[in-house]
Amino acid sequence: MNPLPRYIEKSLEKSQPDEVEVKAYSDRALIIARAKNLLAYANRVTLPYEEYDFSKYVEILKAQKAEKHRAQTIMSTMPSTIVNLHQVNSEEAPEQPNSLPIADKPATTSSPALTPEEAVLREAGLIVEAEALSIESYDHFQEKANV
Amino acid sequence: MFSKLLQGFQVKSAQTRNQQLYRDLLKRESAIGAELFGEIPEGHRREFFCLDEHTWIWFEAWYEQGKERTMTVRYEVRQDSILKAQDGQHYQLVGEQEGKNLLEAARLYSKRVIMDMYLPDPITATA
Repeated sequence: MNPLPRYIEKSLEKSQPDEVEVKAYSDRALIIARAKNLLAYANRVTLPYEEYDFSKYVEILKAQKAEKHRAQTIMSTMPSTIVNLHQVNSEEAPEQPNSLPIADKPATTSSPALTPEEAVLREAGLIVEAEALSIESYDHFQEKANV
Repeated sequence: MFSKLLQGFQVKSAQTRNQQLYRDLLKRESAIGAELFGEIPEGHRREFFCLDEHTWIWFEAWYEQGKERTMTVRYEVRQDSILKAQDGQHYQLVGEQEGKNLLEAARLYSKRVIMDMYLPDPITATA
């Protein structure tokens, strides 16, 4: 069972968040992290590492996306029989003991640099694709600001 | 025909729920943001929150001689500068000290909001 974000525990009293909620939480966390980093950049201040800095997640996402794209490109150039074989193997093969030295592991499948908090977030599914948001702005303040 | 209508309704319903959820999250974040600047004077209402990647809002409301006054400052962050517009007036460049203060507030906001709202609870995380 995934751990519950605190917000859900305190306010919704649900046992598990649904997809919409999880996406909303991860979107907001990423937006806040990016907004803070952009502000630091605009100030030309180097951000020291902070315990809950989400900025590196963007890099993780980019790496994952690049890896996925690379895999898809390779798959698309394979003859169909090999692709099928690959799919069967990947679905049915039991987990192999990892005999590769750490330095030879693909960068995106293992995450030696992850902190415990990041590992928890990944497990909780709070790190997802940072998609463009189609969300109405906060109406009340838009009206107030009116700019 | 009917399935198309149903599909359209479901999409709209999901969008509405998404928007409501997002607004609710912003309101809760804003309540946390309001506490970052110290004690709120009696009769004042304050909100501070991150609207999107480029925008921070600071809102203050209070009563003066029986009349409600409000002030809304909207900070727009660009790659090379920070602009602000107060109460819908023209944008102006933010000075160095104000920019640093805003960054400090954003750091605190980020830390508090993510810890209090979005990080998994350590109790359930280890359960």
